[in-house]
Amino acid sequence: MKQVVELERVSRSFRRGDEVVLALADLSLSLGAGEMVALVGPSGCGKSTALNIVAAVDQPDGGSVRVCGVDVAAATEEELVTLRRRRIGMVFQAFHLVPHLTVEENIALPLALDHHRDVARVAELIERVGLGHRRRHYPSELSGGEQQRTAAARALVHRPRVLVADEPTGNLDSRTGAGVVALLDELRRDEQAALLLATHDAKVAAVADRVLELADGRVVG
Amino acid sequence: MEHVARTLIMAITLLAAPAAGAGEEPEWRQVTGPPELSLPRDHGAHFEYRTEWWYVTGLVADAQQRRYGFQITFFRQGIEPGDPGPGESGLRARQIVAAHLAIADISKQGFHHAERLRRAAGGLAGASQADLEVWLDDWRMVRGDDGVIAITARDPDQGIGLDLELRPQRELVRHGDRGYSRKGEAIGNASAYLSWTRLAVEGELSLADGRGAVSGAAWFDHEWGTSQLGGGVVGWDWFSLRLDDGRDVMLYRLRREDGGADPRSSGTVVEVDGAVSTLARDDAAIEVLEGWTSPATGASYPIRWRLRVPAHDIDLQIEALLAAAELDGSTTTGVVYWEGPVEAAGTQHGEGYVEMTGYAGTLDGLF
Amino acid sequence: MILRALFFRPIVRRPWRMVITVIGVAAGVAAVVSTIAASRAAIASFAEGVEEVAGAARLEVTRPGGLPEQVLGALRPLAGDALIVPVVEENVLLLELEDGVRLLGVDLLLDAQVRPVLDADDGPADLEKTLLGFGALISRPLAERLGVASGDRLTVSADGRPRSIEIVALFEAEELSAVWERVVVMDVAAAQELLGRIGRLDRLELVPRAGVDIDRLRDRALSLVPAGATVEEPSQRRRFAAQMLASLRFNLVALSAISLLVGGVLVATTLATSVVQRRYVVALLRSLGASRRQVAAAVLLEALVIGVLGGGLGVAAGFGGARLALASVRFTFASVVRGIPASDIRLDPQLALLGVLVALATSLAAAVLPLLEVTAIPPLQGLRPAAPRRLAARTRLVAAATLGVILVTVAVLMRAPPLWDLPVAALLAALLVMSAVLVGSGVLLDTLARLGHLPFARLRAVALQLASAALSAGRRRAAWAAGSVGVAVALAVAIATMVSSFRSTVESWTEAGLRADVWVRPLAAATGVWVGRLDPEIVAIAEELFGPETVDPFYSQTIAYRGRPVSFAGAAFDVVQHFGSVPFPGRESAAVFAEALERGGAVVNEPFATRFGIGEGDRLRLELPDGVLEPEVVGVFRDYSRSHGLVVVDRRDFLRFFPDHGPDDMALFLPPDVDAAVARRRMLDEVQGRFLIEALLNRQLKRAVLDAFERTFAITTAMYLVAAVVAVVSVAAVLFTLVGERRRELATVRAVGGSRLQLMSMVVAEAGLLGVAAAAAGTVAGLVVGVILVKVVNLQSFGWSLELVLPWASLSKLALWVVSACLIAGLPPAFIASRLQPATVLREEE
Repeated sequence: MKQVVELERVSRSFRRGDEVVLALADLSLSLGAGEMVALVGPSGCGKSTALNIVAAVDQPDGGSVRVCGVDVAAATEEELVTLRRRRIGMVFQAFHLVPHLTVEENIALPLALDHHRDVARVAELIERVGLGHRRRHYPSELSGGEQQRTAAARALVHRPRVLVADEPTGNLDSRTGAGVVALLDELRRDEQAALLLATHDAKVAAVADRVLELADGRVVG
Repeated sequence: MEHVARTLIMAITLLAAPAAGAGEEPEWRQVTGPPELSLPRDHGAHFEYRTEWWYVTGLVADAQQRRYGFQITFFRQGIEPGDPGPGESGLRARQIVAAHLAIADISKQGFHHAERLRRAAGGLAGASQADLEVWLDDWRMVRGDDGVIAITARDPDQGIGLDLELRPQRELVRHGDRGYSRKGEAIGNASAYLSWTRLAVEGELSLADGRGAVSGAAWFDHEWGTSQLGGGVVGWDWFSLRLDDGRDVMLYRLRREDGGADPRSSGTVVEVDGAVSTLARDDAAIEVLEGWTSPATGASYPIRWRLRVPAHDIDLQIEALLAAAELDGSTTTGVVYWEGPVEAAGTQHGEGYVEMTGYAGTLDGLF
Repeated sequence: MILRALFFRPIVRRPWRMVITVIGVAAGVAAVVSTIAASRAAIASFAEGVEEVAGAARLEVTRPGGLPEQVLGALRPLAGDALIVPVVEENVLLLELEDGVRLLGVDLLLDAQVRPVLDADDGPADLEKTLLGFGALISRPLAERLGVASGDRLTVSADGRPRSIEIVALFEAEELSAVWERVVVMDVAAAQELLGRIGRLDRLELVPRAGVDIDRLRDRALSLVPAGATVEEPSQRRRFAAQMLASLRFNLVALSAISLLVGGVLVATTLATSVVQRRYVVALLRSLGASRRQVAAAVLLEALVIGVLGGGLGVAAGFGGARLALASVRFTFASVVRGIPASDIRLDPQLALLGVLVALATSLAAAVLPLLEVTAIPPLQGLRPAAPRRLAARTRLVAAATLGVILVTVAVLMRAPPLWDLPVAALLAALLVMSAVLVGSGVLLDTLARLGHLPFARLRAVALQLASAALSAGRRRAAWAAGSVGVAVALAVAIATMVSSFRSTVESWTEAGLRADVWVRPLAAATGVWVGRLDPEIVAIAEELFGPETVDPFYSQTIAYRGRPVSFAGAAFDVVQHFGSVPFPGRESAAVFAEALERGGAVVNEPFATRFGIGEGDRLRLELPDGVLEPEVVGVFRDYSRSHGLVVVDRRDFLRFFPDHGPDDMALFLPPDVDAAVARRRMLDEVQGRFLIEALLNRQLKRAVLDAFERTFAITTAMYLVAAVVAVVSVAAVLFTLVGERRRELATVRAVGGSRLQLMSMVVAEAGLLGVAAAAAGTVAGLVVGVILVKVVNLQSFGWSLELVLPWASLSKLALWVVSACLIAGLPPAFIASRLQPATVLREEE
């Protein structure tokens, strides 16, 4: 199976005040199409950094990152934007919906940013995530689970090859969380998207094909 | 009134300037001999001469027999001879009139004076050339057809005023040589000098504390010329006395820098019948008996004298009725002089006025 | 702690927001302060100067056309009660200064008692030169400015005749009497000769002596002065001058106050956005136990700080601006009242204080709505993310009703008569229209958002779509921004409308009315100060050269009509009848003058007719110095050169009542075969070396009139710029805030595939939408205000009826400019938005 995500010996460090914090050290990881990998570990272990690098919103200091064949470290801004726009979908712990756009508009946003229009696809996804009755609602009018389902739909509307979810259940109760994870799982199977998910919930991790445990930026299990 | 002051200083400074070149001023006429008088015209102004004054001093008493001395003077000073030319404003200050009013309140030993200065133009001040009529603001001295001289002057700021009628009791006296009064060696160092030496006074005086009817006697001088004083004269003393034997005496001493009297000092004795004798310098002897120092200016003035005119049987002790009769113009006209009422006793009794100039700085070149 | 969290910390972290707001308030305050300071300075010499120069004088004897000097003698009976000081006075051109000065001729023998300033300390002046020559006293500051000393000579020109004078003394102008710096003092007689005014005085000053009753003195003086003379306190003259300038000044100040409104809106915008921005912190503090009062205090403090800083800065900038504005204001005022306007701005502590207070009041008033908003923030548990809210139908109804009420009120106010001769009601109406912009901008944005809220795909302009959605979400703040830009635009549009109506009216008026081939006046200062008159000899020369039938001299005097100052003038009606073309609406100029000549009638200008309710056929009763003239009004003509009343009679009638001191100016109507340029040259050659005159050809005259017009409106144009600056600043402030507030959202858009360019376009589009909304609302409101200014304010304050000419070209340019300015204002925040690092922003905790 062709690998859509390949991280080799990736390292990333941040400056916090005077201190240099190593967030990732020699992380290697790969995902095939439709494969789901869960990253687990305590807060600050580097999960989010790894996800941001895979989502092409951050770039590594060392090592190589290839997402859908694009070398993230070497790519131009334009290539990165295209990569994000066409190949990657993101789900956040804090949902990050655009507050002044409706459910429908939020879901359509990635298409719109790519100057595309696919009413059927948007409608299909709205139905898939069970928000048909909420199409014209604003995020502030939705429950947490509904917001995250909207976010999931937004992440998939443009048929990305890679789906990145950063603690998607972190702000949800466990039942709702389980529902969202089930949805993501189902969608990635249907769309054959690789799903990289960060969580510290063992039940969520259990859904994954593989689980990588991170500590201090390294894979420990 | 400090402001008035400075302006007047400027004026007087100006007045002084041309006099330095006395004699080089061809436009001004000079008195070079006995004037050919035409009366009443010559009671009026002589604008063709540079300097002229009408001077009245007198002693009066009110109903309560309180005595007052008064002095009212109109000086006329020419600055530019002739009439305004075409294109020239009639308000040009070609002639300036100054007036002094002083009242000595003898019983209270008070002395009050006021002064005015105006250009003789636009009706602000002026003088008639037909008869005696001279005015400045609302101050006036005018001779009526009946020969009575009416004088009005008041100053609300100083609280003084007078409104008097003066009736000559004698004929007009012409001093010196038929009115030609030499004051210096040069032919032009002279003035035309006329007096009514004795006038009856009726009228009203006002002081800050009230006004009242008064009567008494006065002396009138009218003098004009262009460059009167010769060099070397630092000032003069002028005596005018009305003696109770009916005679009137006028004396002026021109004081030299060395303290002596200038040879041109002279005087006049007027007999009861109006006969006039002229006194030369050595006909009269004046001896100072007592002095007074002005606290204001520091100048020392004589205030008691012995006057002897042996040829006329006159030997008098003259005493100022008021020591503090200094007109301090040091902050105003720049001229400081003493002018006050006196009383005489000795061979005769009498009263009159004395004027002393040049005790606080020289008058050299001023007149 | 509360203050630190809510006040200092945000300022330290986002200083630009504070800086921009302070600048906005400062701009408004600066406009007000500079207008007031400049007009005060210009008026100072007319108004305060009258009393300053009058010194100790308590009463003045005056008469239109002056007094014969014999009146000095006539008043001699008063001399015991008062010093009587003759005065001759005229504006002259001081060639070395290239500006006008006041030549004051007084009795230098006694004047130091009246005017302490003349009490020269540096020793006695050379009085012979002052009394017998042309010696003059000038102030030390003027001497320093000219670099001259006692003994130097200066050249003055009045009546077109250059004369050399000698400085004999310098006097100290008292510290605050700038008036004296523009005065040359001479002896009255020298001044009479210099001004060709022999035998005449302009006034007599009476300085009462101790204990003299003023009323009795006045009565006695009245019984002694010639007919037609008045005995008044000097302040009366000041009141006269002030009356003539009142409307001009009022309008300047009122217009600048409107620009302060723009500043106030900006403060409200800033405070409101800052409140919104701190919703989370406020909510957190509230749940930690902070009271409503405590959070309100923080907002108030911010308003206070903005007020004080903006006020201080505005006052400083205002005084600076006043210096720039002064030239224009001087010129304007000098053309209304004869006088020498001051040329320096004095720092007036009262005005400075006023500026700061106005800034404070503005920012505190602007804090009201934000205060309501901040106190309504619930504790954290109740906080919901801000959702876009459409206006409820009820709200829209209320807004519509409010707008309706405002419009009705405006309509009523526009018809209201002037108060105290001033267009108070009309300006209030203008203010209301401006406030309608604020009320309306919310509704407008709501509508805009509704229109913009169409599915993306249909527009294919995701940035615009996102922008419109964002604006409708932040509608309240955005409405403030749009409102303040709208008010600024309205101000600009109103001014543009007024100026264009004015310009076109004046242009057609000059085109139709100015027919003279050559126009002659005394050489005037470039600063517009009106200097002297033409010597009668110049009229004689012109008549000799070109024939009396071609020469139209214009004589004028200020007289009182129904207790108010008006100009009474004489012109050569026979000449005007044949050659002139005075704009009488609906009537032939020639016919009017023929009728006037036949019946001994008068023509009056429109301001006169408006002010006194006089029309054709009415009979005027003019009390002149030597009697009463009762001419019939045979025509009312348009006159945009003066705002006070003017009554013109044939010059023969005029010269029956006033001596011939020469005309103000003179028009030459040449026969067709004479070349105007040649004639002008002949005229100038003829007077060469004797008179300093200007002779303008017809086109030069028209140019001069229009130049004067442009100068008059220079300050108005400056306010236009201030409004524009405030608008741009306002847009930038709001966008900065919106961007700061939406960092996470912007980062999200980036994360889900938005490019930098898309983010930038989005922010710029927001700016553009704001600009469009503001331009639309502002243009509409501005046109309404423009109509009010043109049709009501001008008529009421100046008596001018203007044709309404809408400056379409400049309006569209303005709209374009505003939108592009808004777009440009959007660039810096857009750039910031595009540089956001999504990874960093998205990791930030809520």
